Amino acid sequence: MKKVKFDKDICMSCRACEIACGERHSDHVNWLDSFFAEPRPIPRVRVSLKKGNPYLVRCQFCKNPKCMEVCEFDAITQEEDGFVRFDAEKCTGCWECVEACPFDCIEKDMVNEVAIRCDLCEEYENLACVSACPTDALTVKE
Amino acid sequence: MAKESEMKQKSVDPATLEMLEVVCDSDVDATTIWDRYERMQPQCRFGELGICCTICLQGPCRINPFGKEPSRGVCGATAYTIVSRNLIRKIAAGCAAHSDHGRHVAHTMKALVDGKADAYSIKDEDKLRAVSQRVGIDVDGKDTMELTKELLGKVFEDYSRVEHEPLTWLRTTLTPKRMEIADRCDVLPNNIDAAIVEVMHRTHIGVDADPVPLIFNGIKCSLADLAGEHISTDLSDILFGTPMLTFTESNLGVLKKESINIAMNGHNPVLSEIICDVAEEMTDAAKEAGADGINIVGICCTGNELLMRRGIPIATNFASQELAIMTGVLDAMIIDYQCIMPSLGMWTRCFHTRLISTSDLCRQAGDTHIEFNPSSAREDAKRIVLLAIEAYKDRNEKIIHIPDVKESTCVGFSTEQIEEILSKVSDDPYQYLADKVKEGKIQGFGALVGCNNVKTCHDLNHLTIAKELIKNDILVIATGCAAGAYARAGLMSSKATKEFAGEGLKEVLTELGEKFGLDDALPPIWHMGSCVDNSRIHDFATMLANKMGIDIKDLPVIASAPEDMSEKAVVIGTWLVATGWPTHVGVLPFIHGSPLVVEIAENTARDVFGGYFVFEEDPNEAARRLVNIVKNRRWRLGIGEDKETIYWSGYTKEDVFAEKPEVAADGGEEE
Repeated sequence: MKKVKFDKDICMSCRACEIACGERHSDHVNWLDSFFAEPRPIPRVRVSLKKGNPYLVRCQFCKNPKCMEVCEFDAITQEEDGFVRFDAEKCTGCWECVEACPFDCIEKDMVNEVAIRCDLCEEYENLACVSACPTDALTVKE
Repeated sequence: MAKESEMKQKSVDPATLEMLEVVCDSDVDATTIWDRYERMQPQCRFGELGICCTICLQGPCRINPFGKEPSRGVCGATAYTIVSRNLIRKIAAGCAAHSDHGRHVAHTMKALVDGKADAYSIKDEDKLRAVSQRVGIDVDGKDTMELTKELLGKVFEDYSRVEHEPLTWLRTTLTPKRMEIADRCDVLPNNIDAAIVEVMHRTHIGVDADPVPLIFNGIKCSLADLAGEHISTDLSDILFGTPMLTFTESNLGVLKKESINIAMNGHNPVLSEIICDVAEEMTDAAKEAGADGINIVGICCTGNELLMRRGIPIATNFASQELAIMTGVLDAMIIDYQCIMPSLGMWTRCFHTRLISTSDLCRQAGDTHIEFNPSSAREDAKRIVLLAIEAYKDRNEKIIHIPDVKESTCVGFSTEQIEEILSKVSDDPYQYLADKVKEGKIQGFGALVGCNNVKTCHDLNHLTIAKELIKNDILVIATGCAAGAYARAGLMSSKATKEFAGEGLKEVLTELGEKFGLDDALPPIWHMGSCVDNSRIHDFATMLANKMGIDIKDLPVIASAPEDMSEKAVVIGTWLVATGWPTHVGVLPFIHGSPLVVEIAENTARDVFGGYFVFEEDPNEAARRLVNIVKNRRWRLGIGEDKETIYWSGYTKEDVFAEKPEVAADGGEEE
């Protein structure tokens, strides 16, 4: 599993990662369309503040994920390498996982009524957020 | 409880805090500036460092501030080029705002001369003659209109001159030494509009890339701004009267439940003065609607203009303007331009308040637009007041909440008024002040100017610095929203002199107050007007410097914009530095991405102009350094009492050697 490292000291809080993530997780080929098309794309990462420093809100892939514990529909499973897989088909939109997450990093997709979280850009070679970062505050550790 | 402590950080003004609590408890569908600031966190540091360039369409280009790639924009511009280009574009915008304000007053005056504006008259003929004389017009035997016409010729010449001669309003207001320095540095503008155009041209892609000429061009533009401000002040005084000492009240408590409340928000006095005239005549219409009269209050700098000339109470300054609507008793907010929050439309939609825009420059979503023309000024003003009377009937009595906070305020310190006060104690007015400075009764002068910035606790920086200065016998002269903050906190009253002023300052103010025929001392902070009236601060220092036979760069003066926010604050800071003032700013401008530009602002500027910037975010530390700077300047004048070593930037020997001094120029350190 790819591990993403975040360095708060060199993050410029420009939110380029948020934009790249939302863009990648939209169905639209044209990047401009992706921002304003309905349903609006939901970024899986979010830059916020913690003790005066930038802080990246993104799935931490916990060893014992609280979200998995509370899910009654087996939509969340953990793989051997620690990757927490999320099955949108099984998700009913009960938001139990959203409540349970201690890092506040599961978003609600109100249109499709499914929970949304980082999928490590599985279908792609690179991570959208990491490649968008202009100062390498986000890096990948294999 | 948590809620309360959170609120404490937002403001130190009791009325603002009270209203914020009301907002919290209500279900009003609008956000305050504090909410929006919180939602905006964290803000992009590329922007904060000034190293994001969007000037050409190959961008946006962002320089890596950690010394890695990319170190140049697509066009090849490095951090210093990008920072200085962005900075001087801000200066140009500030200059445009101030000088266009001046131009509007001039156009109104022109309409008066042409006989197309009968609502106006020349209210201060003495000032007309004084200004005309100053700019080199022969005043003998000329009647008022003739003189006005000739003066306007000079004004419009400054907006349109082709010859390479310096602006009339600079040539006649700068000290000779200043003129010489400015001339040597080639920063004397010949035409206000051209100075703005030059900046815009210079910062176009592929024009100037050298930070030094770029910044000097910014300084040239800032001097054009000084002329624009001076023109605004001079013409406004001639048209509406020079401010004289007035006693009134400030803060949200001046709104009256029984009256029709009209708030004037913005900067230009051209319309608001007429509205005041008309409102007095329309009391009957107000009574018919069930109110006991019309109560006009001021917000922001239109508020300051009215406060100074008519003693109309000021309700809020920039940051808390939305909260005036939240009281539920504001029937109309009349806006002209500058520092009008675009959120006002959202707020007025939630209440019965009518938002009336009067300038096609400044329209808001959800406004009622009544275009204001000098030729139909009275009719326009009447229509506006009628709208307010109509709105009064729609008031929702259930949601009214007026904080019971108001402070007595003494304002009106134009240079003319100061001269009059001083003439009661001495035949040579400014010599009296010069003597007091030499004696040490007054240690120096502090010009506190500028805006509100939501990045700081509302009004906290203003009050902390002002109290510390007056405690150290430094007389404070204030303009703009800074002055609004002091008025609302009760620092512009005799009571404040007794409570906060140092012994020497108290003695002088009491003597002046009593000799002038007041029973009490003068306030320790002198309100000089709106933000264009910073020209009064400039005049005051110039007269004092001339009297003492020195240049402003040697005077024991400091300037500070504790909560600088607008582009106008950037331009004012720049010309203050260029005219020799050590100028503190409490919120960092977007220049720290280039240590070179910071070096120019903090050090090189001092070598060339004698003035320099002091960047300090902590108000207590800033106040300490500002007091030290005054001490340092007194010591260099040979009138200082202090033996301890103080450096020009306000650091003492202990700061430099014992502690590790803060590295201000390092962008990476910035929050």
